[in-house]
Amino acid sequence: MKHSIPRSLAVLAAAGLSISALAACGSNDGSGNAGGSTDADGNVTVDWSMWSGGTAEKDAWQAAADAVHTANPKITVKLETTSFDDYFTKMGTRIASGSAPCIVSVQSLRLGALKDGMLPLDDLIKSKSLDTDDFVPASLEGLASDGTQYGIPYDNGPMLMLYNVDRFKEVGVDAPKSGWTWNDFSAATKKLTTGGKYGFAAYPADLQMFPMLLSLSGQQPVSEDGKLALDNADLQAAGQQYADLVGKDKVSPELSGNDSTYAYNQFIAGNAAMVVDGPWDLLSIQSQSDFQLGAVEIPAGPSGSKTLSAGSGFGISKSCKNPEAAFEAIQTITSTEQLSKLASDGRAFPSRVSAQAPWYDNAFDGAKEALEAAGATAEPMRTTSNWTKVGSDLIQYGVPAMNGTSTVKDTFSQIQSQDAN
Amino acid sequence: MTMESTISPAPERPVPSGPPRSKKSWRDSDTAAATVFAAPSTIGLTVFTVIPIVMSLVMSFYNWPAFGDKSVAGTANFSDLLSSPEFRRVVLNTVVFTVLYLPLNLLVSLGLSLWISTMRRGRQTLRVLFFVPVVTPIVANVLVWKMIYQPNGLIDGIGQQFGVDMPNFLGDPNWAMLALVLMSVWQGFGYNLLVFSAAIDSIPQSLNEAASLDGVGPWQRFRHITLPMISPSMFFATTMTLITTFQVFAQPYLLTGGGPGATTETLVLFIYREGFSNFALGTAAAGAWVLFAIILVITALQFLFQKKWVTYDV
Repeated sequence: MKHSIPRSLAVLAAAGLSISALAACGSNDGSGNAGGSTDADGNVTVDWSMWSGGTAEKDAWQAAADAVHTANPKITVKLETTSFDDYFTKMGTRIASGSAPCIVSVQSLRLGALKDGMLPLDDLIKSKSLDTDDFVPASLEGLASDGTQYGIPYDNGPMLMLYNVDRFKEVGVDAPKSGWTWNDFSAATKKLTTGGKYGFAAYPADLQMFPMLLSLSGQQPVSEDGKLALDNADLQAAGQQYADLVGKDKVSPELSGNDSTYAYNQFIAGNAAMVVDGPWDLLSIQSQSDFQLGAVEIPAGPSGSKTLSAGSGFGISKSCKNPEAAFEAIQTITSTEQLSKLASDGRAFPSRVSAQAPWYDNAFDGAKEALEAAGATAEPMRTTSNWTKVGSDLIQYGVPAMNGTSTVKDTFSQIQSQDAN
Repeated sequence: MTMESTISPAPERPVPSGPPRSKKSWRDSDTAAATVFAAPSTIGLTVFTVIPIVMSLVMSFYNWPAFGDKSVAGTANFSDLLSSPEFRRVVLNTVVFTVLYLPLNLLVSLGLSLWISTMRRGRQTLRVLFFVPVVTPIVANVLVWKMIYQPNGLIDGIGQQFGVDMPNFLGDPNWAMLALVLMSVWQGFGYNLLVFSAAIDSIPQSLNEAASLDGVGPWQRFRHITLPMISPSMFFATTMTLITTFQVFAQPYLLTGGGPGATTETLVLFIYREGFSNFALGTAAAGAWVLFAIILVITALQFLFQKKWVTYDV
């Protein structure tokens, strides 16, 4: 017995080690086919990762992937989808381990987190002569960093104020008009907060909060040279004004937990008469709500109405073996034809001017005017490379600040000291 | 992680003593067979556990960003962590969670198992019923509890009927941790309940009968018969529950996201975010090893002190 046990252990250990050595060979050591492959006949397979919120959305993207193969039978795009929240965690990990897909989908707010693993596209845009004039300038800007283009946008738009037209009528408050001010907004929320319902749904998520703060203070949370600027006194004062809607004025429902869809759900359920949202959600909210939807620009602060814009698009990972084929695929996916399809499905507000008509055809009255007015003053939202953490800290520490158990000044200062890069 | 996946040690059986066989061939064939049978799990353990563990230990001594170059950090990751107020806060949160959760879990599971053991009927039904939350996916549990806790949710709704103003359980820093603990106890006590039930059922009836005849009251019987008899199970349950409690992740991740503020941010949640949203993989690995050290020390202490209260000589 004494000899046999160590011997059997040694056999096992050897077996285990050989298996793990095999496993190591199978991982990415540079000779693998990261993100796609090419067969002997020159047929290229390109992997594409995208977020999606359900089967219908996934099918729409699959149709775009199929269109690439139809346009060029030598290219096959393999689509895989994840939920939006998990997508960036997964993608960062995959880029880090060198096993990223060829086509990387990216949102303008998260570009800073992924761009080190992404290929600059300027040369490909030139060599493949992509017509960039048709794109809304802000959409290209949102996926560029330091003058380098990392992604080709498919959607983009300014944040707007959505409102429940029926609720306004019911309470007898005039519908907000273009050029309305923070005072008008404030008065409306107070009148609309009756009978267990609220005038507004506030939430400390970046895209919902910062357009309002920008309109009030003229400040973005990130300075022009890419530094976190949550310690700016004007921004903090504006933030307090925003938080007071919940904690002090009680015109917005109290927050609990970390559900980023909370404000939208309150709005869709009819519990809150207004919410800040981007054009990418408009048509889905329109189909989910049973009231007449209206939209208007963000209420004007001391220096007029301002808003932030954001959008998403597709880039190419540095580890991609076939960047040319990947770029060709992206060109097809973001073509006027494909974006018009997405627009008529109500999936995205197109980044191409030539594809926006079908979206407007689907939208409610006034959507076009509101979008154009807001678009005229929209600035692309600036972010830092660790924005994923800043964004989640804003929600984590912002919830008690909104509920009034802590101040915005302390909250912003704390996040600034934790996350300043 | 709320499922303890270990089976309590079975009592040793005497080895059957048959006639002696030709020793050598029997032993050799035994070794070969044992190797074959043990191979799958050993290989799995090596590939999926041993190698990653060694890897994470190596990583904890490096600056290991997701993109760009790795560099040797020495013990900097550990010293940065131990000196950072944020890390101290999450360790404290985890300890607070454990101090609240462990006694509650043991009290509820022991109390209910004692109560169930006195029933004549429906014992199995109740055990299954109490075990259901343990096997339900935690995501579903959390969603339901969110609806219970949130403003205008179940508790608040009942409170409104009686005109009582209920706190905002998940949005109020004073309540969030307590809300988390209560939900976790509901979700987790069924496992220990099964362990204790089995232990109580295996106490020989004659002991209690003899004590009753001698006029010993129920409390004395519990104190001097039941408790010593189930103390090995208690030790097992306490040790295992403590280990998994220190690794609490899903409840704060799903229920509060670590908020409001940093009130419910636990160690594993911190490690996860450090690794997968900040991509500071070296710091995350160091944090994981600090957690390992904490659990190791506490478990060692438990084994030291078991002599004082666990009786195996029945």
